[in-house]
Amino acid sequence: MIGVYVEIAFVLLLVGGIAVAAARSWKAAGWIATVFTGAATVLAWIAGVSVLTSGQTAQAHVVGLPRFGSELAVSLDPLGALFLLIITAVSFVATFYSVGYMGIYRSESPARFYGLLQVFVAGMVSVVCVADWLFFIVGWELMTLASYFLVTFERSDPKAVRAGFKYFVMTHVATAGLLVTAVVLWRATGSFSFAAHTAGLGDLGSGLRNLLLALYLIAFATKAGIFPLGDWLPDAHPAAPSGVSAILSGVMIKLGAYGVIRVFWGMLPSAGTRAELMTWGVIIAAIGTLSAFVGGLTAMQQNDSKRLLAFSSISQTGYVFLGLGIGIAFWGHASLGTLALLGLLGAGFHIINDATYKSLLFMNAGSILYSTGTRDLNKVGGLSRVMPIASAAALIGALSLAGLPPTNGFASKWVIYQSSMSAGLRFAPFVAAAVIAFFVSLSTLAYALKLYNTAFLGQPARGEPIPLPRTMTVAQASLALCCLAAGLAPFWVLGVVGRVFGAGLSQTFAISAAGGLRTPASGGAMAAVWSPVVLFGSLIVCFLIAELIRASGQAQTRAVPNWYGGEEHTDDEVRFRAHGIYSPFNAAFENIYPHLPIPRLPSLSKARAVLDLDSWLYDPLVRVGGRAVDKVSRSHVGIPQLYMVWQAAGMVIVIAVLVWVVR
Amino acid sequence: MYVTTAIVSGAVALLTAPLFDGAARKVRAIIHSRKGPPIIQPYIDILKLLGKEDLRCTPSTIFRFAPAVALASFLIVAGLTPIGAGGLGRYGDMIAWVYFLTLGAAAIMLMAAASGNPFSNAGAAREVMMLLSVEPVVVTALITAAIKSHSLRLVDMVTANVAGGPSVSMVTAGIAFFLALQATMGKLPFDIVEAESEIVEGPLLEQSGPNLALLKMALLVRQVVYALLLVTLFCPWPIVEPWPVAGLAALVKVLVLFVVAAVIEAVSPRMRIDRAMTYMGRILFVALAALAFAVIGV
Repeated sequence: MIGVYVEIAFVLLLVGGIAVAAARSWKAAGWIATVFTGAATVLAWIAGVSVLTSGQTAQAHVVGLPRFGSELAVSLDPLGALFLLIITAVSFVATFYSVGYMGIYRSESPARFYGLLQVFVAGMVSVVCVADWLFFIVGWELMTLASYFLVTFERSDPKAVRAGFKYFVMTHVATAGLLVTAVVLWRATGSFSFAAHTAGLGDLGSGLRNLLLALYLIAFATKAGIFPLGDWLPDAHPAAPSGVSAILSGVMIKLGAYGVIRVFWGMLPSAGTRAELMTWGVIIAAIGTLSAFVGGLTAMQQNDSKRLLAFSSISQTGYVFLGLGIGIAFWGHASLGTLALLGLLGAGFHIINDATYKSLLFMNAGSILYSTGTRDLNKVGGLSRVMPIASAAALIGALSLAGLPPTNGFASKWVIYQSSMSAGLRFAPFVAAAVIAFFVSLSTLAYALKLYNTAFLGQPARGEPIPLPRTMTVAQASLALCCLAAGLAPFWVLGVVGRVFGAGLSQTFAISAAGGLRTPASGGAMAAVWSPVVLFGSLIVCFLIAELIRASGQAQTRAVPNWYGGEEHTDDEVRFRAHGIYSPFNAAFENIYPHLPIPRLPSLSKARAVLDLDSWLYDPLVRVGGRAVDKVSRSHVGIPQLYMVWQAAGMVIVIAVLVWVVR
Repeated sequence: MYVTTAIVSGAVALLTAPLFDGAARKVRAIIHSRKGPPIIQPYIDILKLLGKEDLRCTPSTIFRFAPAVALASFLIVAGLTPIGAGGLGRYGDMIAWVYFLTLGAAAIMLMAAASGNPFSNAGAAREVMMLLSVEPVVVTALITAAIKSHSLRLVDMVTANVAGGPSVSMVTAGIAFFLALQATMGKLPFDIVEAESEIVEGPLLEQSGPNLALLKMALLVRQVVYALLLVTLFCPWPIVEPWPVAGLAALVKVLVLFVVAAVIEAVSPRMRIDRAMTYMGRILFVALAALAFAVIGV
């Protein structure tokens, strides 16, 4: 029954994608898309929440393909339900945001954008709702294709087209690996279902199994944006319109993590040995840590607001993979249950938090772009006067990204640090991961503040910034409130994540006085405690005391201009530009992010030509048809006697045919 | 019990911080062969500033409230420090300790950027770079203590250190923390953030009057908090029993640290930011060595 809701949601999204073709204007198309996505979101949330509370998988059969050993069916288990909630919620907010944002596009087609957006969301929904590898890949491809067309939405911009092409190529190289594994296991088991493939994976020899696992990891790590496979990310995310960037970075990347959890937590413990689990866990944690480190340091060097956030996505995905690696490495270990659970809980919580604040920050970057027309941080400033609410939301987003208390970013990082240090007691290199993770968190603070300070604080830059439409402000404010709420009540969100991994919250954390989290020193974990309400309350008390001290002198206030060393300057002359911030530090880490070269010449244009259906399929057909029609029309010379001759000849032919048929 | 310890820790940190600064100034004056200001001079400065005119160069709310937020964050950190029963340590562990310090630093950076003055922005950027260089040492030392004590809570770390006696890893971590102390306190040769002759006091530049008083108090409390963690966690000997006496003993040790810092300050020129970063990198090796010792189990 619940599974039917998911089916209806999927169909609603597709119908919405078609329905926007009827809209005349950008606004109308946007509202149609928002309504359909909203309805789909409500249904998906009903289904997802019911699956999470009951812990049972929701099923709904559509059609079976017995010849392929596959079936198209909705099979929503708690893991899929969690991701379904994230996908639909963020997509809804991003669609709502786009209603106002897409006003900067005048000449493009709204039907194309919103139609593709709906298909994109439908693709993502279908990825997490199936328990069958064939339809998983179908949904994966649908998602990738739709997002490719959205990334290259600005067809006239060669950089966007190139970025989209790179994304397409890299994802498909990785998906090829996914196809290989699916086919190999299908040949071995005769079915495409997750359960059958788990058993099949266990029956294989360990060499082949590890090869398949490597292919799985490459596929999902590419989608997640792990360095160096995520090289498509820094080009593709800035190229897309900001609402789409928010969805790309907020949820699509997380589906890479979903795949890793599905395979390495869902399939490997029953299919592989203890040693394999440990090895793969360490590998995943290692690539995660490397990705976090490189992504964080490269983001500090960026002066393009969206590119900075794209590198930040690479970095935050690294954190998720670190938590996942720890969880997978120690899963099923008799005495280290709490430790493994901590890793997985941290990763899951970080996925939720990152979805919230990363999409918020991309929307903020979109607001900057909407208001000033540029993504270059050197050219913007003082936007908090033009958009105060969006600026406050951006501040919360930046602080959440940096992981400062009491935002949600801190809570998930707290869990990941704990798990990393506790894992270090069992396997020493995890301690190094903890140190690196702390350092990366500081560099995250650095670039988060770089983004916020240069764009929103300080003196206004040259030019007239445009104020934001209300839908954009509301979208950003709602996400900011979610960040704060999740930060002040982390036990609630962790409880939800705990249901996914099969543990009640009390197994890992004790909820201490005033809604805090306390990790007991058992099951491999180290004792730790975090009580956001108490500490934030104390912070407010101390703040009031400080303000009291401040007011005790009863000082007068006066407004004065900035002091520039006694010299006369215009504010824009002496503004501290973004490229100068952290330059000594960046000079030390100049070439830390190597780029994978994608060859420029003929293969690129030939391959692009294949994708351009207009040029080799539709146009020739239209031309041939037109020429044929032309030839026919030339026979109409306009002389009535000729037409009568044709009519007489035609009548003769018809009578002859009739006579022949009747006889 | 916890509430009392927390309030007392915060209040003591707030009220004694100017005294330590005054002592440091006196020591610097003696080295400079002059008489120097009285030890209570910082108190007089702060009281004077509280009454002066508050000049606002921007209507920004961040600019107005950030000094109070910074002071509040550092007072919370003081409450988290493990003296006696541990005050707020029941609600926050070492990760909270590090991050509330970072919150205060972030508040100062936001305030500097909000002022719109390029000197302040340069100071904020330098603050970040100093954080990036110095905090890894502090964090590695804390992780060493965590590994040794199998707990992330600061009180447990102190208990384990006291019970186990001086160990190679904890002593090395203490040395690394001490080497980084000059930078965390922001004293010469590492006063790069407030480089008076280069960027005219950086983040403090556009603040005046009561907000400047709050900011100065915040920076002084931060200095005391770092020194306090060093003495309570890495150097808890001699151990004295009732916690008010333990607190007093800690304050005496903090005074010694401030005097040492003042001596180093008086004889040092300022380091350039990139030189400071490489210097901190070398200290990080010491901290990593301490971590390696802890992992081995020494």
